[in-house]
Amino acid sequence: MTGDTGHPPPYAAWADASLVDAATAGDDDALDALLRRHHPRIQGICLRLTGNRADADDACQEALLALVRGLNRFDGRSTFATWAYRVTTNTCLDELRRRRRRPIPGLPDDLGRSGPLSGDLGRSGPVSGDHGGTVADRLDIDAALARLAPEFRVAVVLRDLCGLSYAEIAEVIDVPVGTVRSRIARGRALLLPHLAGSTGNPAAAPQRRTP
Amino acid sequence: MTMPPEHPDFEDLSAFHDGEAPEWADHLAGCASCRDDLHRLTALSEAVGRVPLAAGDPGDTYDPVARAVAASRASDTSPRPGIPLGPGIPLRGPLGPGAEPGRSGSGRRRQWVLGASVAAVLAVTIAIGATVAGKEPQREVPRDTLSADGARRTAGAAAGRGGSVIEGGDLGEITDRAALVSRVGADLVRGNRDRPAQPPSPSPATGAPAGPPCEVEARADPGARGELVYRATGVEAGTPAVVLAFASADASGRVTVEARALSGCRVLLQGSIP
Repeated sequence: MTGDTGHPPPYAAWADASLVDAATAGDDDALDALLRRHHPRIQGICLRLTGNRADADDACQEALLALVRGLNRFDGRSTFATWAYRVTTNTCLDELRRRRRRPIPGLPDDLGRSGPLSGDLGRSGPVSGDHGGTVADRLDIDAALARLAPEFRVAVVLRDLCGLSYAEIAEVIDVPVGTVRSRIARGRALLLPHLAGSTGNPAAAPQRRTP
Repeated sequence: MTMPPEHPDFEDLSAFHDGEAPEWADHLAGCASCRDDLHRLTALSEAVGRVPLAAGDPGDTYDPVARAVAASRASDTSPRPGIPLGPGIPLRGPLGPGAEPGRSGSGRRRQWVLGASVAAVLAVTIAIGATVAGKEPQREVPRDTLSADGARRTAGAAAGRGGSVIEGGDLGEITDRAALVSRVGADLVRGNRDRPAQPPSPSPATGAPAGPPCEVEARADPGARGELVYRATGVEAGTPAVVLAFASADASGRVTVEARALSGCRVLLQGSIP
């Protein structure tokens, strides 16, 4: 597609809604621009929710397919991003349900299912003192996330990776805002003691009532 | 400053961290212990949000899949059962009812996409004359769209409306500073026709402009650069970011653009429209 001047349209400057309209009308370049814009975050959601690159690649591919196939039915009641995250989340949950559970050494149990709730904030050691994100940090985070019950994992990832508000997350996963708030808090409370450098020692003050 | 006698519980602190419980602002301001815990929450959020990217160009992971997906549209538009297709469809699996057993596994999916990839190659071959202008010609923005004067005028007008902020929405991946400045400039020139300007909502606790914590921090930055005229979100090298633009109050009309990490607020990129 080219504009009146013969130049390609400035897709990078278009809002999602305009790209959706153009893509729905058959502009494949607009569709490509739309998918390219959201691909990094979709891929990130897939990686954080599935816990490994191979499953994430599968889920990402599946999610993009679902977005393309469902674009004609996207009614614009939500933003495209919110809808895309919803589709991606559903796809990842399908992927998780399909695959066999893969135990991760070094963690006691599935967090949020039968493991004990540690309510402290990991005071005995830094969660992640630097911003560099070492391989060990990532492994710890991925491992801890992978053991988190999906409803907590989704809420935390949509907030901390996608930066969605509680209301937007509630829309994505179709639960009340209060439930989003409690799931995020519980997920974080479960994650903190299992991150690099944190021993989960509850000897800290003030003790907080945990979700 | 009077602190509430009780510390916020974990859920309150978590919500405050997310900008969803501003009523605890005064307590946090006066309680070092709670601030310490808040920093740990911030570190956790940053860690979760810092997704390790695949090696190489981000396009290396996008192109093989998304181009095939785009090409598939022409050859197969029928919905496949079991794939969520819209906002009205409830979540399945662990978060909802309606689990669907026996869907095709990744092996079949890879085969399907391989076929689509062949179609994509054919499509690209046929259309090569139309795309000879460059690898991603659609990402270029014409210079007239990026007029610095226009951007400054719009930014000045926004500042003059007494706090109106142009919402840029989700900018997606932020590749570099120049692209960020160009994009924000284009949005300012356009006056963001797709989204109405909205004034920031005041904090119920302090009456001060609220917005995300990063925004509050940016406004309080000692190197204050004027009135906030634009905000958006994006992803810089895998880090979720808030994009802010400030219009200088002096005669220069300079617009400063910066991307800050959504968690932690550190400045990732900064540039200006002179």
